Amino acid sequence: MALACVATAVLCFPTAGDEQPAAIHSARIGEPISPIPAALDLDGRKVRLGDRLFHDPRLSRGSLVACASCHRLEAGGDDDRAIAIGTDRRPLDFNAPTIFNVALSFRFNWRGNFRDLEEQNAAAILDHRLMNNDWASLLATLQADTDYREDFAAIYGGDVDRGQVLDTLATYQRSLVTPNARFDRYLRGEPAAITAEEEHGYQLFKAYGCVACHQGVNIGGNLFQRFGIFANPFPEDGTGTEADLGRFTITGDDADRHVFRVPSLRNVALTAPYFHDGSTQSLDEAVAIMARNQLGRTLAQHEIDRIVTFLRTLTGEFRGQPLADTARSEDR
Amino acid sequence: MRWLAKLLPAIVLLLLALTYLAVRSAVPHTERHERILDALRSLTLNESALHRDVLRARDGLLRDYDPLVRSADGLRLAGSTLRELGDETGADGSPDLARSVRSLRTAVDEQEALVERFKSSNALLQNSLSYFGHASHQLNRAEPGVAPAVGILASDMLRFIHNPRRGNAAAVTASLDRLARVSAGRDIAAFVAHGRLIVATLPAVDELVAGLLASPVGSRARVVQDLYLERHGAALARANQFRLLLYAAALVLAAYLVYLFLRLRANAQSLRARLRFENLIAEISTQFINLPRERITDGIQQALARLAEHAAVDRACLLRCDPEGRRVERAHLWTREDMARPPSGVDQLLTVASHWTLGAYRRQRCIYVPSVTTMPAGAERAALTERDIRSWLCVPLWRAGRPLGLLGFETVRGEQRWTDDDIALFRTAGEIFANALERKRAEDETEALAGQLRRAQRLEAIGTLAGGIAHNFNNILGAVLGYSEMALGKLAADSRPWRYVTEVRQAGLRAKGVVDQMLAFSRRADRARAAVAMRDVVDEAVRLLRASLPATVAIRVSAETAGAAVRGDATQLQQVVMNLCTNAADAMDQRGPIDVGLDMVELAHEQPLSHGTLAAGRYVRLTVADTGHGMDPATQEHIFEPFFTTKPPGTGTGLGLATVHGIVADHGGALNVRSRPGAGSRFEAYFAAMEAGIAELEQAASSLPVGHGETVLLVEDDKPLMLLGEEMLAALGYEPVGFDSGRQALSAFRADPERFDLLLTDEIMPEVSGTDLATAAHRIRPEMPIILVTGHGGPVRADRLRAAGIRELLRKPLLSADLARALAQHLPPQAEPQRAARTRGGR
Repeated sequence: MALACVATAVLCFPTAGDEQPAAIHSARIGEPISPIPAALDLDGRKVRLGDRLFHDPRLSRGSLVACASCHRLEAGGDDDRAIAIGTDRRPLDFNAPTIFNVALSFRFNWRGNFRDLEEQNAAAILDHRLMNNDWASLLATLQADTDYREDFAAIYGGDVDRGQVLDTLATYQRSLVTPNARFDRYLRGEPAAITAEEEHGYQLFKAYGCVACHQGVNIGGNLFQRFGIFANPFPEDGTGTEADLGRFTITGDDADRHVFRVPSLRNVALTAPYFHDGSTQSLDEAVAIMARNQLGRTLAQHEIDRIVTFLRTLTGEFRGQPLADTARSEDR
Repeated sequence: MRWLAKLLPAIVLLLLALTYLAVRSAVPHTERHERILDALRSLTLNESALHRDVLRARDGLLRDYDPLVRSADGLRLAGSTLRELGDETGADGSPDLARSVRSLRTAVDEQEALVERFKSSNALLQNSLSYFGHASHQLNRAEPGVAPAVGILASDMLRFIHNPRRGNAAAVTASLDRLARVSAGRDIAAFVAHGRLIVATLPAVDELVAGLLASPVGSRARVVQDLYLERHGAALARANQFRLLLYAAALVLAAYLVYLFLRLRANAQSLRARLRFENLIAEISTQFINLPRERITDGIQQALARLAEHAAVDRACLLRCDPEGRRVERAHLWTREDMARPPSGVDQLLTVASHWTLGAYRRQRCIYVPSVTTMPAGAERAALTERDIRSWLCVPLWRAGRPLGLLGFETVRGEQRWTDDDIALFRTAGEIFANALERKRAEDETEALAGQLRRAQRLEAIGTLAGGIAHNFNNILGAVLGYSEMALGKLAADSRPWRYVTEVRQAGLRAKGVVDQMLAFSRRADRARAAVAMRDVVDEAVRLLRASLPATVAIRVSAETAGAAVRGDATQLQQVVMNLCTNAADAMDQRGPIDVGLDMVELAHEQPLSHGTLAAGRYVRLTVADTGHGMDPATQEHIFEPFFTTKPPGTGTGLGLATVHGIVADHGGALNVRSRPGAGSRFEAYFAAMEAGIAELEQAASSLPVGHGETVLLVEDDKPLMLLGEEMLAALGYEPVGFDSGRQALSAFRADPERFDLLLTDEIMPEVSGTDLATAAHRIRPEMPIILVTGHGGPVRADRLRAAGIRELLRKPLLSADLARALAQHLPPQAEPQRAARTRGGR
């Protein structure tokens, strides 16, 4: 009967069918968080080519930066800065979000202003303060490079075009998932994967309502929420930045004032500093701020510690290796 | 290659039409159709899933929003799939569908916005509900002071949660206010804050849920689906129609293919038939080439039969006509073996063909009547119907612009169709027959001419021989007759010697008749020519014949032309009539009618006759026809040769017809004989007609003129004849001076030229010929008339005669009548007769 249901579900949801077993698994054990599915169905050639593009500064005008300049895979997929720096050497508006597990989010960036990766990548390549490039010169550069030309031709045939570049980049970025976090293994039925203390932290995470927003496979990243429900985290005197307005700057809807995409908590231990403005370097503090503003609670330090221990179990593996912020390992 | 250029547009058009049908008959975009149906299904299913998950999330049963995100994404994806449809249908004129797709996508967008708001609000609500439940329990235990207030609040909240009316919300708010007043503890504050959040958020969340459940996505998706399926159905129906058309086109093409195949086969068959026909004609042609003359007629008959059998006709005929195209000269007929012989009347076919007036039935200069029954009424149809002809093909044969005849094919039992190609082949066959006929005619003519030449040469040879014999006999007879006449003069009439001499003279005269005939045959006679009325000649001859022939022979004369005149010798012409009639009477054993005809014939062309050839011109034709034994061709070959006779020995001289031939030839005429054994004979003698010669006929022969003592120098090497001549001259009233030597005569003449009034000399003399003598005398006395006597009518040249001053030629044996007339003609007339003279000889 269950199989029949699954079969029916697959038939009825041809677009979402491949993720359905995970959902059933998650529902079965009744947890609001589900593990990252292990299997990825991606074209390896595109992934490899996208890898090279991702790390190639020639994607930017004057070969100043590569994608990987801000999304450093060895640094948790972000740049470790509070606010990202543009190619003009001046700070941008937001903290750079991690590139890891980006495919598991329903929108991108803090304001959720991009629905798909191709769109986001194109914007990044053309943005004057980011890569500041244009398609004509970028494609000419790639076409001039024998390796690129041949590799693109091998995959797509013909000359390199915009769609091919965006497709390879996005495909590569979709490959940047970090499965097998200890907590995922716990969810998959490996109780020993996390300690009792960490499990206690998870219980607190659920009990105190963090999980109300940070749920799903990406532990967040699948809804918008206003920052500041029970308390106002923004300056009362109106000195807040435009970035503080969140989605309002996109939609112009008052209801979207201070509304942000709920960020994913996967690998959260590696992606400091936190919040849209990178205002907090410490995870403890971030948890405290969130509890106060969003949950109307003031947490005791031991509770914060528990929750943070739990959060550390969310760090996954990348290409089979446990993810680590090597750039900051010295600090720790 | 021109046909290709002509055909190319048709082929291109056909290909275009077929391609069009194929394209239009294709089911419209099966793949896209499936995708759209998938999208529509996905819309409905994701919508249901969304509704379910929203309700589960509202009730806290769904702990994460991934399913909602997936459903929303699914809806969005389906929406954008449908956008293609919307764009396309908007472009191709289905504004309803485009509009409904647009409104569907609007609904999807609105729904997504609701989902986002629902997720955010519901996250807060669920959190607060969970906290509220958890906290109220803890507060009851931890702070007994506030327990009643918390309890009231919890129950109010419970009521509110179950029924979030405004009244219940006010109650909860009041309880919250009360609790906040009771305690200002941190926990209480948080508890109150969450409670207020619930009051604020729960109705909004429920509203969102209601909004989501009432979302028009589902109904609009159904509208889109209905419109789309309707449109797709229409397209499918249209495609089916075009498929039917394609099928029909395929059927038509297949039928056309079958038709082409059949036509190809028919063409091949007709080509084979044509090839057979051509081979047959080629064979016939080859056969004719190799055929000897005498077998051409058989060959023609055979070829006609083969041709007719091949053409599957019932009757065939090959007619040869005269050059005027009026008369059938020769008919080759063929009739299918199992059929009755046709009624005669092929002549009529020739007439019909040469007077054909119906241009609609002319094909390639032939006459082709596929169906006699549909012909317009007229002489042609009548003639064809008379022969029971159903279909008729007539190929006229021509040669050098003159009609030669016709080649005709008739069907009697059914109608027959011939194509133009067939007719062309029949024409070719006609050419071959025309060639064969022409060859036969030419070879016959050559043969006839060769025969004529042979005959002419034979007659010439015989003539020369007979002429020589006759000349000698003539001289002998001259002496016999002359002396017998003189002896008679000296003898007492009715005395015994007188009677003997009379018999001698009679026999001599008969012999002279024979000799005359021989001379006439050998054309050595040279008689005076005058205009002769043929009618008179015939009448005179018939009168004589009626007297001499037995009464059992009836002579019927039919003379169409009264004034037909011929330049010639009346006596000789009379002899022709008499000889022919005598011959006819003999051929009938002196019993039966002889038809003597006289008419004028005008020939436009040279015409060959059985014995001789006539040049174009006007001729008087004398016809003598009998109903006697007739002659076979071999006999006809020799009839005009002297001494050739079919009569029993002793009854004929064999000179009668030879004489006729000689006389006719002498008059520049020709003879035509038509005869068949047992069917009588018909002799036709043609004489050149004289124009306006009747006046000369007035000149009538007068009585015998006599001289008036004129001196005539008579030269004759034969002494007895010289003496006879002197006797004659003297008897005619002339003064004869005779010499038997030309030289003596000439010296006598030179001695006294004025003494003589006329010179009468024999031509053939040992020392000086008559002509030489005449020449010498003429030189001395040009005005003196000279008459030459010759026993041989050989080729004396007129110019030489004229040069020698010779006025006239007389033939031996010299007769008193001839001599009297000649002398009287050439001597100047005298005022009064000096001496009466009478001939003493019997005439």
